[in-house]
Amino acid sequence: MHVSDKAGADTTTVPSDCRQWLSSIADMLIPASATMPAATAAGVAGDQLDLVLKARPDLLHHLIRGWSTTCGSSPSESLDDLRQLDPESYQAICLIVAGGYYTNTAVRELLGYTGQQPHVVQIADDIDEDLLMRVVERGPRYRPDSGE
Amino acid sequence: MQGCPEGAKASTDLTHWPAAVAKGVRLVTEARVSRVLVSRQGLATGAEFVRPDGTWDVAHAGLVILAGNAIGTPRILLNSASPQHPDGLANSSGLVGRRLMVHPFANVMGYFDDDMASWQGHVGAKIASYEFYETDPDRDFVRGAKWSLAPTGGPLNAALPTRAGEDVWGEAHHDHVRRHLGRTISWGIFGEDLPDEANAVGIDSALTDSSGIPAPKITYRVSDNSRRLLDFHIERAIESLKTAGAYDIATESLMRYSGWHLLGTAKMGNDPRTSVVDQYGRCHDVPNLYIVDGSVFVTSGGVNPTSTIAALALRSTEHLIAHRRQQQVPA
Repeated sequence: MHVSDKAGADTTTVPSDCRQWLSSIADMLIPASATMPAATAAGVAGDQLDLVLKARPDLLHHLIRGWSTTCGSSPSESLDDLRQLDPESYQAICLIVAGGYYTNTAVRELLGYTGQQPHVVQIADDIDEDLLMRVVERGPRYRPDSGE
Repeated sequence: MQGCPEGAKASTDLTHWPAAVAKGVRLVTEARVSRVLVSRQGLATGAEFVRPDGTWDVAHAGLVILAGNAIGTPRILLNSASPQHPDGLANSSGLVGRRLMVHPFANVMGYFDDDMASWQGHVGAKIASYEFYETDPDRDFVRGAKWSLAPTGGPLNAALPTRAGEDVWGEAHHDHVRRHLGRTISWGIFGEDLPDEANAVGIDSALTDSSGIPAPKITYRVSDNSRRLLDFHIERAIESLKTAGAYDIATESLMRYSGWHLLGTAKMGNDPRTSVVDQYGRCHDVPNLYIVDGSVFVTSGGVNPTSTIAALALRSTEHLIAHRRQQQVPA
């Protein structure tokens, strides 16, 4: 199977079996909790995978390799094998799962994470002027040089 | 440093190069300089370089300025060795490549109950402290460190394995992310590195890059002074974070995979026997060869060096321009 890691790689080259395998792996890495969805529910093996691979097409061949070499094992065995025998694939898959999960807008809302937003600080209200005045009142502190 | 593909960063590809090119500068990108070329009279005449397609060429010049920083610059000078300059170019002092200084770096992160939204802002110094920057004779080390208080990134940064090797997935993952996201702040500790001639950039006897240019070989040992310095500062940073209310602390000393600043390998000084360049970055041995990067630092300081590098480069350039009529160039 030919997979390209060039920019704009066609993510439809990810076989459906691979996406299904990734679902089981992803839900082991990021399961559901009382307040957060499981990775698959956040689209990590679907639309979010496409999003991640569009930004990082270089991860595709690590994903395919990890799937190809471990798809006959259980998800936990797959993860253990990759962690020990193919750390590059393991790290790429962790990044794919986490990247897809934490760029999901619903997940970000649950975390209260808005991304970088403009934030204006009113210095007079937000800075302790006493801290600065101690430095100002101390005066300059210069070390004499050796005169070389 | 890299630019930004969206043009959102004030890197020199936006701030300087367009204006320079408009005024006639020829910019050759992705070229690798292998050596500086020198005339029989001992003046620099240009540089040899190779393009990505593998073709070699020479850029001729009346004056050569190196800005390859503390690994790239000595590498080029040492690779410019010839029968005329058997120890490398501009190296009568023997100091080219020696006195490599970095900033041994430690990170101390505090975990807080409060949600401080500490993912706000870029990774960098929001607060800087020089409280323990100077030498205190009561301590068992000399010099000190700058502290930089930094935010700790968004959820992806919280989720992925830490540099300290913490790798939390499965049932504990969500608690791990919640504990970290917005509830951590981090002191970065930049220790001042002392110069030691044994810490050096040389040339590898066998390894080359993909163009066949001999690769640099770095010999560096973290000094006992640096270890004691970092230990002291880590203890003080822990005190600082606990006093501020942190319920847990994570520390990483001599943090790997972080860009320690590279300095000192073409020392500046007045005496050609003990330095490589003069106060204006001109090589003592080659009067039309200049160095305008962190190689020229005599001491490392304990602060980010870019502003000082830029200031020295500007000072050297202004002096060069002001004295251009006295500048020796090849005939």
